[in-house]
Amino acid sequence: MDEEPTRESDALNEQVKLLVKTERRLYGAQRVIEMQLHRLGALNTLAASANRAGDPDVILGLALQALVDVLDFDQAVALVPAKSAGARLAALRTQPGCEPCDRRWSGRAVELPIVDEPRLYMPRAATSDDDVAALLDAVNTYFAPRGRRGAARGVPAVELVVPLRRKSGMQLGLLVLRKIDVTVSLHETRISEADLPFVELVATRVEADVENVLLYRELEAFAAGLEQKVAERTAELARTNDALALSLRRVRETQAQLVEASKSAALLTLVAGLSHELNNPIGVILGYAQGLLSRAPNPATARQLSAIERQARRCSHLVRAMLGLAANPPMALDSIPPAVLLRSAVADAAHEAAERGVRIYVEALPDDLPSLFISEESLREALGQLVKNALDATASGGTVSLSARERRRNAVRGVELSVQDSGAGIPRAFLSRVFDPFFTTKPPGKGIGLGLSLVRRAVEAHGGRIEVRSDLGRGTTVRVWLPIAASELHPAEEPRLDAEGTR
Amino acid sequence: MGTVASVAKSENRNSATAGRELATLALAALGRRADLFLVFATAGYDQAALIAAIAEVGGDTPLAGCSGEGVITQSGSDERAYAAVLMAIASERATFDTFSVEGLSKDPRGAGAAIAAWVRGLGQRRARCLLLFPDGLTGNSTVLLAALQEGLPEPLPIAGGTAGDLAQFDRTFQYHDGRVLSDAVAAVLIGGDVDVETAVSHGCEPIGSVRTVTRSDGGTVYEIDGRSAWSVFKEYLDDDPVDLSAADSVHLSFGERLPERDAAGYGQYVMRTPFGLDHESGALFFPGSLAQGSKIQMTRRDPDRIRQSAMKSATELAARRSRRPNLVLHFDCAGRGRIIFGERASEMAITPMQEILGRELPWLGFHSYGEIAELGGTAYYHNYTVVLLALYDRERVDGRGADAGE
Repeated sequence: MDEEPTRESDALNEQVKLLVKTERRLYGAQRVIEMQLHRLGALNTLAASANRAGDPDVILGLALQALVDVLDFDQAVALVPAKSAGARLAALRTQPGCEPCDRRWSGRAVELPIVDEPRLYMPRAATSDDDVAALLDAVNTYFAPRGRRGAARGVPAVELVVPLRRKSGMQLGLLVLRKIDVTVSLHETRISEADLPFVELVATRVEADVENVLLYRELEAFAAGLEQKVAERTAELARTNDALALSLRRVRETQAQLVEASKSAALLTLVAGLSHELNNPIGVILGYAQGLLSRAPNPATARQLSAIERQARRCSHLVRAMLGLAANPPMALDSIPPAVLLRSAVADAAHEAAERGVRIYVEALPDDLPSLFISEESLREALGQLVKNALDATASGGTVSLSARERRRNAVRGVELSVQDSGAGIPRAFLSRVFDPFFTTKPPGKGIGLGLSLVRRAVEAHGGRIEVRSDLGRGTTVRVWLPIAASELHPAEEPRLDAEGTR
Repeated sequence: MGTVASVAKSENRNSATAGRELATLALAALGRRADLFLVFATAGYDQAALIAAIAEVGGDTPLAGCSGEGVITQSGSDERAYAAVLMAIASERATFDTFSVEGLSKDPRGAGAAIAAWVRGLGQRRARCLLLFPDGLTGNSTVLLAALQEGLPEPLPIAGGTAGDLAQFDRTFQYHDGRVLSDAVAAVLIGGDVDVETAVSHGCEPIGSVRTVTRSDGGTVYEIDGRSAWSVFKEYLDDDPVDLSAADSVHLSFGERLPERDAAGYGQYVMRTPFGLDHESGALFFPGSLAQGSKIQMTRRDPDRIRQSAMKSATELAARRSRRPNLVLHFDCAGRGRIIFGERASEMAITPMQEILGRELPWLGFHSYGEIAELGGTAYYHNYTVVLLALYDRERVDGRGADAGE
């Protein structure tokens, strides 16, 4: 009677045991599903964040975060090749209290080894001669391990090295993750080789995102380079066009100068020949006039002979001037203070200026004006011509002032002499021609237009330069620049018109 | 001033930093000198460094607590290797005394008697409630509690949990003032004008036939129904395991039949979990005794029942007083956290109780290897159980109510 309930009870107990075991398996399966869901969630979070990140370092940091969160690592670094040498720390993640201990990453001396696939060390053998060991030691030094229980001296309990590659196969960098000791709770991941597929998934995910960012950057750099090249070529073309236009203008100017020069040369040859031919008859006329004047029979004849003698002398002077224009006599150079030149020019013209009612003077001169190494005769004549021109242009009551100052031209020391009048000025249309031989604005009989031409010749013979600036109705200023030393003499520059009408 | 408390948590893996953080944050939140530090921490920490750092900040503030399998605050439970919590309590109405006794495994009865003597020495006025944190691996807590209660002049609410070590079953730690002990019991006696209410629940379901412990010695059970205890237990496990693992045993336990007077309103059984296996004899070790002749039944854990019974007991606890407690202490079995609920442990079993009693309350606890709570006026050692202790400033006789939080 008792055996039936016992058998029934035993059968029920067996069923209960079976149910409990099944339930236990279900719990186990539930934990696995939860773990996989957790990992899937981490991968999704990583994918969403990495996709939005435009910086490879940020993406590497997100990869570290995913691995640290899921696999419960204490410390993680992302290392990439440095520009110069060694490895650069691109990202760092640590649990609170596992930060690097006041050390800076000094990766210059650390080369990133080539690693084919994720490697797990639990722990790394102290005698390991793996080429990764040097890198892991450097990371170890960076973190200064605290050597708690469970950790071998100087080596963390768990190290994981994850290589990241580009599509080209080139190694992008390495992730190094560390667990300092093995004290984990029942619920923390006890990492094993079984976790490496998840690690591969994370690596693949971030490799793709970094690849995208780098490709985009390369494309941007290429586009920027293209724009830069177009801009450079355009600028180069514009420069070439400018140069061409300049060359063309110079060719035209040179052509015009050549024409002018050939005209002047022909004129000067004609003048030289004519002067030479005139010189002798004029000499004869002058000689006889002077001889007859000394024996003039009456005052009326004497006045006529005197007129002949005066006009003959004038003709002789003109002829000498014309001969001087054509000739190129050698110069005797002396060291002359500019003040001497200016004061003698004023002294020479003082009488005429007084007669004209024009005030002439030398402005205050700097004490330290250097002397000029020049032909005194040549420049006294030139300065005298400029003063004469100024007096001619200036009405009674006006002024003619002379001044000097030190001035550099093209880094060459020199002295600038100025003759300024308060006369009528030169019309703008004439300014470009004032240095041409035989150009004059004076009425007939007041000059033949050789003065400024001779002045320019004298100045240029000293390596100097002459400029004329005129303001119609207010006056004219002529500036003569001369180098101070003979050694600084240089070929005369071609006088040019500037915007102001100066030469 | 009524009783006020603040709670701090640190996850810093540097033990000294974590200790300093705990004390500094809790004291800053408290805004005054603390009369007691309660500390629970997981076993990843260098326990001595952690407690030393707390003492460095807190000075001579009395301190008690233990290592746990996880820690609990209003932000839920944290069962990672590095998590530590501290409650700083200050009160002009309550008194706090701390005590410890070592050598639990060798003489649990003597330990219980020593604690009873200490309580008696402090006088009835200072004895409203006793918190106990025994080593969860070494001693027989049932014997400890029996000796303790025998030595008390009158019944005293007793609650607590036994220390854990991240299910490594190696060594647990008990904290008493600046000291870190093992194989010991740390104790806090709360006295003064305060009252406590406790609630306890498990959520396990008896399965199979009622069995009898046919040979045992204290916490070591050799035979059940005349067979080795391990062979009986193993029948419910898959794949004929050679060892007792936490992952396996966490799903199963034994229910020890309660005396009728203590079972009222709770259930027939108090839970008993094996913590050790003697391969040679097939004996199982239980930190709570299973006396020879005890009626037991296998029990399985049911997540839904765990959740429902926890919420029910929290609701009953809240209903006992018309006001919020000043603070809540929470001792929850290590087997009732992530191991059964996974990532949703806090959401499923912790937060619902906090929502019933008050999300703003200072709340501190830990995941223990065993729990201590009274049933029918007698303190029992439990497994797979949650114990809540709510502390209230005693209501004034003029009816103005408590002045907590003033």
